[in-house]
Amino acid sequence: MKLLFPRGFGFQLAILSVVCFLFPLSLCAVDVIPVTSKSTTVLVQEVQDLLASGLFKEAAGHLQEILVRLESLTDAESVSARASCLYQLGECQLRSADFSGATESFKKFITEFPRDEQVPAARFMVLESLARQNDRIQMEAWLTELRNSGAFDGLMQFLSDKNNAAFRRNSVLALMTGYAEQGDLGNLRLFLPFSDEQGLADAGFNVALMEGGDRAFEAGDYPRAITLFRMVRFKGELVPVYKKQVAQLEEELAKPLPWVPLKEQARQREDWQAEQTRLEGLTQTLQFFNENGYDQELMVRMAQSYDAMKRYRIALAVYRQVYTEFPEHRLAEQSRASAFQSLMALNAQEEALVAGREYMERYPQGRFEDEVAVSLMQLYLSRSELPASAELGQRLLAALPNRRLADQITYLLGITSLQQQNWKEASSLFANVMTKWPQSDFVQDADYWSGMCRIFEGRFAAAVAIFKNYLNNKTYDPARFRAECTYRLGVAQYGAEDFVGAESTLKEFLVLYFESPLVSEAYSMLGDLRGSDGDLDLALTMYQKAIETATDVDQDSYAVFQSARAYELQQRYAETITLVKAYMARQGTKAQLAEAALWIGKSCKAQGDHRQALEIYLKTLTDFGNNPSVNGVDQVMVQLLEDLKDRPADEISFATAHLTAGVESARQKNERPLELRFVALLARIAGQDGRERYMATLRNETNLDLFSPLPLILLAEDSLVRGDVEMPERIAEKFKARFSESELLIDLYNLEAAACLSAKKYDRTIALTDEIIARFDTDPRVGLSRKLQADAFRLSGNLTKAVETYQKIFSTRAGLGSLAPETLYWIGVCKRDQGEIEKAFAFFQRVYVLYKSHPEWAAKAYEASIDCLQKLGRTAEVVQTWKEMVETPSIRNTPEGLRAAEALRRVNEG
Amino acid sequence: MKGLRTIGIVIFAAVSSAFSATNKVSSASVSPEVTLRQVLGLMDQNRMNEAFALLETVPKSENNGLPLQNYLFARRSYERGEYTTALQYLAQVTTSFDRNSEWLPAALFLEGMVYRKNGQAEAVTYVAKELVLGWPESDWSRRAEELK
Repeated sequence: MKLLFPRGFGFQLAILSVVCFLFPLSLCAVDVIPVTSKSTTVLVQEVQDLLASGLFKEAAGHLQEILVRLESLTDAESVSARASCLYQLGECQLRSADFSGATESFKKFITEFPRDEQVPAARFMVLESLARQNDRIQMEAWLTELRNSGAFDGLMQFLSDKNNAAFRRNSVLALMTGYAEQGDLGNLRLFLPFSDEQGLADAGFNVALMEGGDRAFEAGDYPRAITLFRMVRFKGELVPVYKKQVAQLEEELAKPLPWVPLKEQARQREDWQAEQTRLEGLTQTLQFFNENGYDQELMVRMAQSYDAMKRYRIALAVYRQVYTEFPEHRLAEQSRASAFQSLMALNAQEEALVAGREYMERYPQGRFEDEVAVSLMQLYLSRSELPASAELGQRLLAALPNRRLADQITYLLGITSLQQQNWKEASSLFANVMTKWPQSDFVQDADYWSGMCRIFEGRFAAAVAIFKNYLNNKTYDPARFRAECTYRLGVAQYGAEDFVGAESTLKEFLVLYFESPLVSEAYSMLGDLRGSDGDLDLALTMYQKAIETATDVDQDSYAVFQSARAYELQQRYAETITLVKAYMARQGTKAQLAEAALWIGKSCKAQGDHRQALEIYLKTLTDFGNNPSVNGVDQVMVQLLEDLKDRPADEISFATAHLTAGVESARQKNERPLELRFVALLARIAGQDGRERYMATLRNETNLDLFSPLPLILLAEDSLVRGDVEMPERIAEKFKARFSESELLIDLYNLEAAACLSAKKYDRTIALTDEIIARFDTDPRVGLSRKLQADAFRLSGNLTKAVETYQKIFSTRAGLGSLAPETLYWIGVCKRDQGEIEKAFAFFQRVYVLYKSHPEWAAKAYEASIDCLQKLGRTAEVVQTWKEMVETPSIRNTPEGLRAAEALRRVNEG
Repeated sequence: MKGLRTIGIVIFAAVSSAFSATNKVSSASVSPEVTLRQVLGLMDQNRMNEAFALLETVPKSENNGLPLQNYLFARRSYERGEYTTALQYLAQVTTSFDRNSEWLPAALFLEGMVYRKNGQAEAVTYVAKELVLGWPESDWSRRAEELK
């Protein structure tokens, strides 16, 4: 900093300034005589002492008095001294934290002494004073003023002057720190080039950057926050700078003090002490970096900024870095919890599950245990992993019943029970939420779902009471479920057979909540009410409104298919076809294609037009079939095959021709999944004997991802027939992963079980079929699963269990087909092998008496019953049975029939 | 891909044109950094197959790789439509906390492109703002407009 050396007072003041800022001196006694009573010479001497002692506030008082005395003097020396005094006053005010005074003094200096050499420095000092006041507006105004007056470049030149380096370090740093705190990136960058590495590594500056980032974050200005956080130096960058300073200072302090005159020794000691204090400060700062998780704090702030900007993958990476690099740090726990929440936001369910469970295991009773648990429960619920959700919630509440989020956990347990269809348990849990935590945010939710539980239970009167109570509850303000409860009240009244009440409530709902997403459902309910009264035209009008106001495919589907039912009653088949076709066009792959195609097919058939039904199926298949995952297409395929059963040959030829053309077209368009669907249909239509020419296409496709369910089933069947028992298991794995909702899933399971049986893996077969039976229970195809299980028992020698299992097949009587005679036959075999010949005979006899239409089993049963009769010594009946076999046309030409004829011939021959 | 051309294309184009006969340059004879810059040049010229093949030849360095390498992996994933993987690589550029990394704004821009592809408008806006705030008066600041 250049100083003026005016004569007289000015000269003394100039010396004084050098002394006071470079050599902090001992405290001078401040007497009690008012400054106004002292001579100017005394004042100047005292100012020198005060400044040397660091008593800037007192020095400022003296300088102000000196300025008053110089004010009226106009000689050059006095003016020069006044200029120097005024500048020094500004500095004293700045150092005594009188920032507004400093601003005023420096500005006055600039105005009164515009040609003074110190003016560029003074301009900078104004900025520094304003920065210290955090007066961003005034700083902006000052910089604008400088720019407008053309003084800004001068200021920049002043800062660029290497002679001003020492001056710059403090002031630029102060200014930058001010800008950093305010998050003012523009001005910060303006002064950044004037700071050296030591300034950039200054702890105060870096903390100010963090504070600026925090302020921007709080204000929702996340890009600014992250930009500021990224400017903060990490510990690894700061520590070497501080260590270097410490080393230099230690070296200086270790040197013996040079000789000085006696009168300066006190000052020398104090200087040494001051440097020692600075060393301690630097050491403490180093310690701060090493102990206070500075880097971790910074990284978590950055991650939180990314999180707030919904840049979850980046946030996740930073959180992971914190807890992997600093696993024992206190922020590791928070970072793990936050990483889990980022994964939840990304809907990366598998990763989230791992992260959530890891948190719970690593930090039992951790600070974020409740939050993580609640999110984990929600995740389990969304994945229908209900036992896991229940276990977690119950475990946490058992460990600490009144935990922080106990209300929310109890509520989620209620939702879990609701999804498990355990209505009573759910109701009880919702009641708990309402009674134990009446102030909870979840009380209204619990109340609403209590009512829903009653509806699900069929306790409609109770549901009506709950919904009415909700609607009349004045403490619910705002009542968040008012619209839903009104609608559900109508539903409950309908269930309670209060049709008048239901209609009135639903109409009221439509008036009050015409923007609710439930409007479509209300119209459908009104349609149902009118329809049940036989007023089909009005019902159709209501369904039409329901279609128009539907907000999702389910609402649309319900109204469309209810309309179709009404049309069917009115025998308006053409309208049904138009309605359903429009629905399919509207919803595309989201439509319930199977039911839609079924309705069209039914309507076409009702009009006697089987061909059109077939065309509709084929068109649906062509339009949507190239996506292997559209479940409804498979159901259409099944329906198509069903409809072709027992149809005339020309219709089957028509279908075959269309499907063959479809194969060619799909091949040309490279629509491989569609091609495989067509080929699978052709193979099915061709039957066991004719399918071979189609199977090559399926076998040659190695990418199983292109297969939809039916082609996969065919491939599995084919593999089984060809003795490849590994392939069905591989297909099953793929199928279960991709088509868990498919109607054909149970068929695939059965094929897998059959493959296990063929591979003589009896235990696996039994386990697998147990799984099928538990999962599909009421599906008639479970009959085959039971049969396979019984076969496994039989083949593994457990005949008692085999018989027991075979008998269970008859618990489902409908649709057993050939399974019935086959089951009876195998029971007979078991009985025979157990030595119960009479009983075995009875079972065999039942087969050919009751199931002659299944000659493959009747023939086997005939032969087995002859075996029994022979064992029982009933020879006459043996001959009679052979005769019966030979005389029965369907048995005569079977291998068993031919053997019977041969045996009879031998008897006749004597 | 035009949208992702990087600023250094002119320099890299010269290098990469020398590389056009891929097999003639042995990646063992040059440092990974040079090879990676060749990859970048090829990508900027939309010669993706060559770029990907060359990228494969560079072994992944320790500590999660060089920022440039991760940036290039991210671009490869982006080109293949593997957006989650792209973000994972970009996160590695970000978390390298390399103060002077010239790849940070490039990575940020690519991150914005990923969000744009994914229809995450809010994240795109934030990334664009960050580019403007972090690299004012630069080409990246101007290109932030392309994201919107």
